[in-house]
Amino acid sequence: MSPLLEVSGLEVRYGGIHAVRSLNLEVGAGERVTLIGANGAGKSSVLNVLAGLVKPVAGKLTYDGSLLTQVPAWQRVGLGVALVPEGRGIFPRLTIEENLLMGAYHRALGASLAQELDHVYGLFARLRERRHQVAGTLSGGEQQMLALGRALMAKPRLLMLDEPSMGLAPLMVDRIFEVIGKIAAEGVTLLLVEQNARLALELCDRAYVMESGRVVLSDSTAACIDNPLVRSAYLGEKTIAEVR
Amino acid sequence: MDIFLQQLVNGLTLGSIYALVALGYTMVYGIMELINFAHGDVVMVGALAGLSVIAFLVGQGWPAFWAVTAGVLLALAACMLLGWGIERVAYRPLRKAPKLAPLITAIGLSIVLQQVSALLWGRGYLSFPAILPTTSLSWNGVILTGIQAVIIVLALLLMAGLLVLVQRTSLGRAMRATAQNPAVAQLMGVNTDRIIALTFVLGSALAAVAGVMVVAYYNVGHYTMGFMLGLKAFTAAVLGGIGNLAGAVLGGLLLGVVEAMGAGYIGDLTGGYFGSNYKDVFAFLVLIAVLVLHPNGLLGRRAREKV
Repeated sequence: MSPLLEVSGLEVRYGGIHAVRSLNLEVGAGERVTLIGANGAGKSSVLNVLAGLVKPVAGKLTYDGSLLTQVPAWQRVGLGVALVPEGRGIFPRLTIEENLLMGAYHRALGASLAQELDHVYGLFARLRERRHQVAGTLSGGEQQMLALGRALMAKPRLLMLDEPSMGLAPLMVDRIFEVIGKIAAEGVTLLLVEQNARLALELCDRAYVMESGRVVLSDSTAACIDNPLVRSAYLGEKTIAEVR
Repeated sequence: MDIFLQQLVNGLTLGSIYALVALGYTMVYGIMELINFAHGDVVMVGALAGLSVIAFLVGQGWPAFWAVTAGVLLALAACMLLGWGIERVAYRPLRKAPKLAPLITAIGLSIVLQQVSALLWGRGYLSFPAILPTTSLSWNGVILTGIQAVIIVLALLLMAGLLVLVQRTSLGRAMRATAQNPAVAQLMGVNTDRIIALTFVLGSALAAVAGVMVVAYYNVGHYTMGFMLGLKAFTAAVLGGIGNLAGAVLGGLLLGVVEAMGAGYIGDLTGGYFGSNYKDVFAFLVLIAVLVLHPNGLLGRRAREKV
């Protein structure tokens, strides 16, 4: 069976900066895949290309058997590709409930609306309490919950998360990852970009390690955790290039 | 007291028109942080299109009500098309350009609209046919004419409709989301290009109605009439807090009243030295005062961006 998502020969440039170089990547349906690496390695660029926010200079994106490259960003969520962007990207002057409704904007919501809101509020009780408040008043962790809840309202097949742990207190990070695990357990395919390599490796099945725009390693997360290069570079301090 | 109440009625009429036009400025600013200085000229096009259609139909023997209805509908169609075209041709290609570029484009567009209108309708004053009923309500010497009542009620209905659309519908939610974060709005499945075009079309529709109101109220139209009207409506939008819909309504009504009061009392206050023809001064005094004392406007958010 062909994978749900297949990326080949991806090249991304911002002016003179070559952010992603000949990147190949596959995500199977139902799989949990993580992209780890240092700041500026090009991880977010990959997600932004997949979401349609960044135009690559070269490369082929295949999703569910059809080409994604020419599909405009706003149509991709309708195909089941959802991104929770870095920095969460909530709408600060919409209420929490309005933010959640934006998640379901692309599909006709009928009688199931209340039920789906309930599902999200069930995961995050805090959001239910504050549903009529504007989202800008939420704390960072609550905003991340809202961003996750909003992505769930989109009913994605492929959920991409960009640095969900960024700027959050450790307890909140645990809570967020617990929910991400639950979402994956419901059968949603996961592509996770994360600086906190340990968390990402514990949650996912397979990992790609990126350095300077290239994939330098791809393996099962179990193998990565045992890999001395990964251990010293990402579960310690040095980069793979330095260790070599 | 009579003068006060009479000027209040006159001011609310004028203010309703300012508010409709101010909404167009504030909607476009809210969604793309652009001052569409050609907006006043869209009002002018609506005014002249409406006026000429009404005059023509009245000449053909149409009854006043149907002639005016047809005039308003045609002005609406013309302005909505114009608003859509302006966004598509003049602003969309500059979406990623520095902010000065679309501003200069707006001024150029304003000149183009005025000159094309001068070619179409001539450089003289066009008069509105005397077909409107002159019935009026009188109460203790304060007069509310039929046309004033129609302007105020119709404007309030349109503004209420717009607020409901923006605050209570899924489309309005998408508009607000696009204004706050266009990239993320796209991730939610919002076709932001279409939302931005729609914002121009809606603002232009309000401009069309306001334009017909102006020519019906003052009985005269001219190809340069959009300039001063646009500046005042822009002032109203800044007074209310640009980007804020309720602020535009409040600013418009307030500015209309200030101007009417100023015109009503300036003669007495200066011993007859200045007359009511100085009324335009008040709008700009208000603009200066707002910019100096409270630049975010009455309902505006604290400004974050540097210009």
